[in-house]
Amino acid sequence: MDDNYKTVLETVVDDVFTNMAFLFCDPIENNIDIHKYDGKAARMIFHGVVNGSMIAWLENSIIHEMTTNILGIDDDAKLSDAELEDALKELLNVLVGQFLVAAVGDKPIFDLSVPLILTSEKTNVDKLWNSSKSIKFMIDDRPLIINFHCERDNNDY
Amino acid sequence: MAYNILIIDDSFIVRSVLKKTLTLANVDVEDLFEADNGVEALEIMAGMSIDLIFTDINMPKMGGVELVQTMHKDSLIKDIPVVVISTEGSITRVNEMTKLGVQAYLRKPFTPEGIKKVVEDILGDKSCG
Repeated sequence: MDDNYKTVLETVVDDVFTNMAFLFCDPIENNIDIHKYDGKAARMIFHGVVNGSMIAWLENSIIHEMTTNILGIDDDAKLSDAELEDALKELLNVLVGQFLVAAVGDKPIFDLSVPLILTSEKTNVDKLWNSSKSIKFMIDDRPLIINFHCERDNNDY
Repeated sequence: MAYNILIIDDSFIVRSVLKKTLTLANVDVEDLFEADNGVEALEIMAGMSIDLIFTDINMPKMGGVELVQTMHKDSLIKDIPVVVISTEGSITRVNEMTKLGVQAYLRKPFTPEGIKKVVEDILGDKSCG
């Protein structure tokens, strides 16, 4: 991942989790066994002056906590898979929107796909965890991965 | 005076938070309608008198831009005030939507203060308690 984009993305992830989900991300300091954790992933594609995609993989209890925080309901509220997936997709939607403006400015228009949940068969957590295109955080000892891939179309930004 | 408000977003979470925000802001709501996308929204508008619309841009079936363009061509609904709430932060997009008659543009994540302000700006100071 381009170092400039990486720095921008780290800031955006931190801001969005803090302001939208009321959760605080810490950078990963030690290697962890990612296989110990179950999570869900969503993916979104964008086209414009840069083309690419972003995947957000979050450990399940982070998604639950984020959803109850956003809805302002009890921490132990029972939520359906559809509600949890909806919150994950919305989080990714906001991450992509905030990142694109922070990375290329507010003039270009992007064609954004609707965020989609990746099935567990299609989510290779190992690959996401070890990818050079991923940034990784912990929230209270629970991992999250943001994987970002992009290609520049031209030099207009 | 109480208002009929239509919230259009494919995210249940966003619709829930927006509904709660309108309640907390004491907006005088007669009825709150919800739609997943522009197609559903047009169906609701065909049968109900709507005073204010909050819409996302990026939705399946019919997104916010196409919805506003469609409304713009229909004399019965073209004057309904529309507030866009989107993750998209492009000024070019904002200008494009403003030319189509959109009254306000808020970026996600929105704040209760931002919602209250646009409601008061559009419906008047007495719209919120």
